[in-house]
Amino acid sequence: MKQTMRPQFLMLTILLVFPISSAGQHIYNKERDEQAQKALPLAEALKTGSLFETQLRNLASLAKRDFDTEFLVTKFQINAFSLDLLTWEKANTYICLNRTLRAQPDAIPSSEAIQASIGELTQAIVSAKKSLEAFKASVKKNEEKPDSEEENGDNQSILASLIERLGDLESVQKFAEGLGKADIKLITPKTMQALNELKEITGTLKTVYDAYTAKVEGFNELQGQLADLRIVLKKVAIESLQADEQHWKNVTAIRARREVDRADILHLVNDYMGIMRRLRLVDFTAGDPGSFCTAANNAAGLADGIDIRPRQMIAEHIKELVRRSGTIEQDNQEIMREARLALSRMKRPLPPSEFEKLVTPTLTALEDGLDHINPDDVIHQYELDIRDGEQDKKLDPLKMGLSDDLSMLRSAARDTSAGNLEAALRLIIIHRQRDLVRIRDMVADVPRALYTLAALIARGDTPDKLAELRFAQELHAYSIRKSAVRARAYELTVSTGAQRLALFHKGGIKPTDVAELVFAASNVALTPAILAR
Amino acid sequence: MKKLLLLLSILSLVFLTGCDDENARNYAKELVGVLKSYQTEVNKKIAAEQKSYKDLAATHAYAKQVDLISGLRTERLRLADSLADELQHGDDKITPSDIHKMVADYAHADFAATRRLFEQESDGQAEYLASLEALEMQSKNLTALTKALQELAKPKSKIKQLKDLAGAAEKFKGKLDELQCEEIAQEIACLMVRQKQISDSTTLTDPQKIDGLAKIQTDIDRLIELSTGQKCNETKRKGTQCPDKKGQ
Repeated sequence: MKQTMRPQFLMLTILLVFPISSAGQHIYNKERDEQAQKALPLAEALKTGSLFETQLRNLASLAKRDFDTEFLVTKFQINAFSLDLLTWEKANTYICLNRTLRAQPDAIPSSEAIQASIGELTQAIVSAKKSLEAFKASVKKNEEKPDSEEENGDNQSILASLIERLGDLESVQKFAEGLGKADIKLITPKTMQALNELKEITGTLKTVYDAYTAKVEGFNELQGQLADLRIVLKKVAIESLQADEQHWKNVTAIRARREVDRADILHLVNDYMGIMRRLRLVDFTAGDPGSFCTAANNAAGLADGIDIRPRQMIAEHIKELVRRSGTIEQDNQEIMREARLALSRMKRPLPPSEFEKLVTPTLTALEDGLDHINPDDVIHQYELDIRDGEQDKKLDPLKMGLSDDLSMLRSAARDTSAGNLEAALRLIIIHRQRDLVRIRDMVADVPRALYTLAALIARGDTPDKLAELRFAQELHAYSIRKSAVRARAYELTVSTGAQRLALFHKGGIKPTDVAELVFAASNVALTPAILAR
Repeated sequence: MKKLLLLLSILSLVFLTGCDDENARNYAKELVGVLKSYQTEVNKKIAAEQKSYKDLAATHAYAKQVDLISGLRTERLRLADSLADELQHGDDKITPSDIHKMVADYAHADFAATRRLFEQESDGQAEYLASLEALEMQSKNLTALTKALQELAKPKSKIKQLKDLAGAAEKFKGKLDELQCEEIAQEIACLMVRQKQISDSTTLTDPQKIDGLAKIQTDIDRLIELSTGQKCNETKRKGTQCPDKKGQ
């Protein structure tokens, strides 16, 4: 008996001591253990990413390859075109094939028109934001119960957190403001098109917000067992709206990026056109880049008569220009030499009657210089003599300068003041030195045009081509993101137990009804999004 | 005595189960609070990062672009000026192939310099987005974990508690019976070892041996009867060995 009782006494002792000494221990519960264990893989699974994230990564990888292929084409074009470049006609043809230039058939808009368009865009943004506020109010409706359970409170905070991330249209607004502040010379007809596109996108966003508001209002009407799904459906609707909004913001960013890149290309094109105008190779209307290609085609064809220069080899043109600049430089050096000699002779006192004789060599040098600038022979705008229009005076500095200096020296020679004559001679030397700089610039215009052309070959169509690629990739990525939202919708319904509720509740809703509601929540704005594109 | 033990056991279990569950729930509840606070911080961090990006990234990207483009423009002007000087004052004449080379060389250099710029994401925020997405993911993880812990923090229903208690008591009784059977089997095995020692003894007389063996057999029979009453496994009982100390 003594031996039989030993285990019982042992157990009794353990039982009496156990509750006091081992409060930290617990009785094993399989269900709780499973619940606790589920938390870990859940977090792990979210960390490692999902199928859709992998798809987006793969898409990014493919996008990079698309870009690489496009850049290979550009490299090929660089090699092919540089080997084909012999005449300015070829160079101008290449410029006129540039997409950015071709895409500008309209006139440059006025700053008033741009400001008006920006005003309309700002109004569209305000309108879209109002629609978004209506959506937010609709989401909050029925969810703000003071005596709500803790879980409901959590749902409210999740909804609030999701809503907070919506409606950031700052990037659109900033882009518009950037255009408004831009130098008017950089504004192109494409600027107006870009603003119109932004207005369309903002309008589409407003439509999307309105469509989601209508859908969420429908969720607010859900009664009975279906009301249990309301929070879940709202979450799905918000996440789906986020995907839609992000898509349109990405499209805006792609177009804004294209405009910024195009502005650089247009800057290069304008530089090139300016040089062509100075070299008198294309006589187009200043301030109207669109007329450049018409004028270039006319010059290359027979519309303006037979023009030799566009068909002249660039290398020959350079030789001619260097030769011409050499002659002008020689004339200027001669004028300066004579002027300096006259100044040195004026160190001793001279009677006014000898003034004219003193400056005659300088006057002759000036007249020779003027004679050498024959409007029929000039190959650079600097040489031209256009006296008729005062506004064009700035365009003919060489001949105008020589002509003015000649008049000034003649007048001073007839004067009785030695001081005036000396001043006139000094001014002539200064003017000729200034013209030497211009002559150097004149020669440098050809290499500048060639290097600008080289930059255009390297970058030319890239902004437009890459924008097209980016847009195609964004459409693909958008499709993946929408699929991810749909998958997330089903995860949400399962995780909240709504589906279980639907399956097991006596006389409850069918699982197919739940599926339909979830699908509707994740697809609400698909149709307007497609239409607006 | 056994009834008293069982009663004590059940009372202890009631106390133990209630205590355990409340502690675990409180622990989970505290963790939920901590997680929520952490999640709030993470959300704040995300918002701060986004604001930081908006304020600075556009300026940085623009400055980088201007630096590159204006640098290339300066380089073109430098090259053109250099060539103009050579043409104006040098003896060398430029040929069409020189022009081809000049254009191709610069175009390739310009292409290499601008390619990275063109390849950048539309809004130049890829790196920022990557870090923001990681934070968003962390926030989602926290939401999932919070939910899991909330499940653990919920009190059980009364019926569920009773069910759990009944289940625990049943498991407890089963284990107690198993331990008792094991104890009885060991006692029997040790008594049998003792019987063998008496039989093999050279110091005891035969009558002493008979008397000793009979007493031990009485104990063995009583223990076997107890084992049968407890529904102990007979095979297991027969296979049980006497621990060393018990046989001594």
